[in-house]
Amino acid sequence: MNGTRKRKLISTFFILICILSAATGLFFLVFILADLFVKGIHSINWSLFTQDFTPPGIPGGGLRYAIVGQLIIVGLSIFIGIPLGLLGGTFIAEYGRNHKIAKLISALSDLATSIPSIVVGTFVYAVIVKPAGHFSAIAGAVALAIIMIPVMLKTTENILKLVPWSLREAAFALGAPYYKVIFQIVYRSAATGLLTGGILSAARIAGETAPLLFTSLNNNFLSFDITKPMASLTVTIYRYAMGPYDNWHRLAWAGSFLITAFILFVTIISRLIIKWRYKKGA
Amino acid sequence: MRILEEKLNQTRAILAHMSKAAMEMLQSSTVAILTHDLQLAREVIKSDGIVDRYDNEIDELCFKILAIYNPRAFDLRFVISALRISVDLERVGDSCVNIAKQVKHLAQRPPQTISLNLNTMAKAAYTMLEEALKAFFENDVKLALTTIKRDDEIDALNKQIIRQIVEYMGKNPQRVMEGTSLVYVVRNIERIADHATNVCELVYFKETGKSIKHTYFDSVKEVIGNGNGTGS
Amino acid sequence: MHDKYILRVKSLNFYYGTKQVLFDINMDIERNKVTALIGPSGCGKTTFLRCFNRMHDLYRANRYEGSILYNGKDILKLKDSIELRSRIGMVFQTPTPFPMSIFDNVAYGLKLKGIKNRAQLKERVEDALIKAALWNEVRDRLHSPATGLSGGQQQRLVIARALAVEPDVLLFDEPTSALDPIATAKIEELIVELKKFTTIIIVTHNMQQAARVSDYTAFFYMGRLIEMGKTDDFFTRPKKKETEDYITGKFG
Repeated sequence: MNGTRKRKLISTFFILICILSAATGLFFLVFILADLFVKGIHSINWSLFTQDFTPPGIPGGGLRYAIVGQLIIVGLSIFIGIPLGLLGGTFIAEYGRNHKIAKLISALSDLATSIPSIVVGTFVYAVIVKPAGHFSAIAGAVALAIIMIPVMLKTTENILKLVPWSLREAAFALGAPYYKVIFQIVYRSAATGLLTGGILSAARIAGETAPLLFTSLNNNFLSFDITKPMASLTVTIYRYAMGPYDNWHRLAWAGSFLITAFILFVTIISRLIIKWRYKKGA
Repeated sequence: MRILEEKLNQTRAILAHMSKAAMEMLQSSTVAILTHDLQLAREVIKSDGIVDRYDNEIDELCFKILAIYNPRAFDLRFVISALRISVDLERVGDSCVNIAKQVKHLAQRPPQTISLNLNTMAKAAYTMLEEALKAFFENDVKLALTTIKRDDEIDALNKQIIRQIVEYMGKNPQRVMEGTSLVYVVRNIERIADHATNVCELVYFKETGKSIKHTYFDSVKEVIGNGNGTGS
Repeated sequence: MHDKYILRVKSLNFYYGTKQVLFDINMDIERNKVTALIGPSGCGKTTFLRCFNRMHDLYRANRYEGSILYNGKDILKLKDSIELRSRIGMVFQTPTPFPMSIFDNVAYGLKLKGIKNRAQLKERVEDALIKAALWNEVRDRLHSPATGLSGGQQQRLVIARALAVEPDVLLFDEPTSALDPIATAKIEELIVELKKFTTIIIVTHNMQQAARVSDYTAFFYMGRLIEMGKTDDFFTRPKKKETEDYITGKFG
């Protein structure tokens, strides 16, 4: 009887520790979100989205230039990074199946996902910015893309590998060449997973700051020229937060809230997509 | 499976042809004896080839059905009973040939009283076989069981005719050879009735899966009641 | 000249890398008949089946020796096996509908061949579904996802998909292993019907099935063809002792 009691005690103790740990993690998450919300919500108004940078001292000012810049840079990096990641993952999962080189690329990709983003930034600085002689939005986009590619590649590889081999065989048996099998059958079958993979890869880099510091730098004006430095929301938040002005701080909180809300929104959407497709029985 | 159905129907059809051929042989061989028709007797002997051919066909067909299609339950019982009935029908054919062969050993028609009884006995055997086969093709167990009873009638006639023939031989010693031929004929008719009984037992087996070969009375009571119309 | 045999296998040897798995196979496949390949696991029957549509080309280090004549041409020497596969089709063990509508599934092979005319596609899809005994069940929902069908229906869909391109030969690789008994019975009846339109070679580990549906049966053991004959004779009077032992369940 002593054995049973002791066992029950240890069991209860362990469960308690698990609950406490979960609660702690949850607590900080909720704390951060709540804090952001409280500090940022009252700065959300129209002027945030319609006005650009104003020098300190002049009232007003918004984040339009930063938001637009962020969208351009992130959009460009998606345009570069997602296709490359997709095709790379396709190679590993399809043509490279059983080949040693595919396994090598896959392993390297795993490593690449843990490269510090600031290192990527300095790399692109050395390779693009320095030779060009100036900062640019493209350089920023490239830096973000470099971070995104291994993530997208891994996701693609895993998702495509989940598509049963028998499905491909059936298509081959009808006389389809490999590329058609991939585009018409495999991609179609994995569409949901690839879509959410893409969305999550994009969300991963949407909040990066360090790589942009050495590549797209900043710009106080609304600009669409990608060969020149461009403002981004993340760098702007950093600048405003480091500045001495209350107005700037207010804008920094607003910006932080915006970014967080956006990433949260995107993540939730991707989960809803999965749920919806799952319900459809596909 | 559709193919199995087709093969079973095929078996049934061949068995039907075989039945008809055997019954015709019975009819003809009896007439040949009673009317001393040598030509008819010869035809009967020839037609045994047809019955034998059907026998082979059924053997081969049922063999294949069992090997290839794995029939179950009723289908299985049907195939097995078809195989056994073809044996009985083939023997019926042989018995008819035996009867026909005796025609040439007789110098003329058999004596009147013997003829009459022979006719009756042959008719009874014919009816018995006819009903037994009808019971088979119509899946009629009751008919099969009542038909079995007719064997008593034939047994009685059998004893009566043998006595008559022995009496006749006693009075006409020069006709002993004829007498023995007639006894042989009666034996064969009696055997045909036995085969009809077998067919009835196989009908019972086909329907119920049980054998009544050596335990007649209880099973029959089960099916047709105690003879007063009570029971199932 | 219409040859009685649509496929003739001569001295076929097959290697997975350095390992030989098929030894000197000689076999003639008769047109518009069902030929069943049986044998214990690992005997090579599926390997043999996959030689007919060169499925082994998809994997590395496979080697063929000998020849398989299809309408006079040796298919093992063909450079391009893709066109071959539209004339020798295959149905696999697990039903594999593509992630598209029923109509698109059946039309897939036709589109691969370059047929784009909508009217033509409609006609051939309907024809294929009728042949596969599935038309009546799906005629009202041709554009709904194929994954909504039951297992047995999916397998018939796969058969319709293979039939749509009107292949000369259809290869079945244990097509009913994953199905319930009623669906299995339907597929077996279908296979016997399909003889009219095409030649069928079926691999099955179920001897009864081979007996029920085939005209010819071939017994494989350890990579060799032990015996082949008319199904009726094969199961009632096999010639070789190994065949008899296998059929009576003494091994495998």
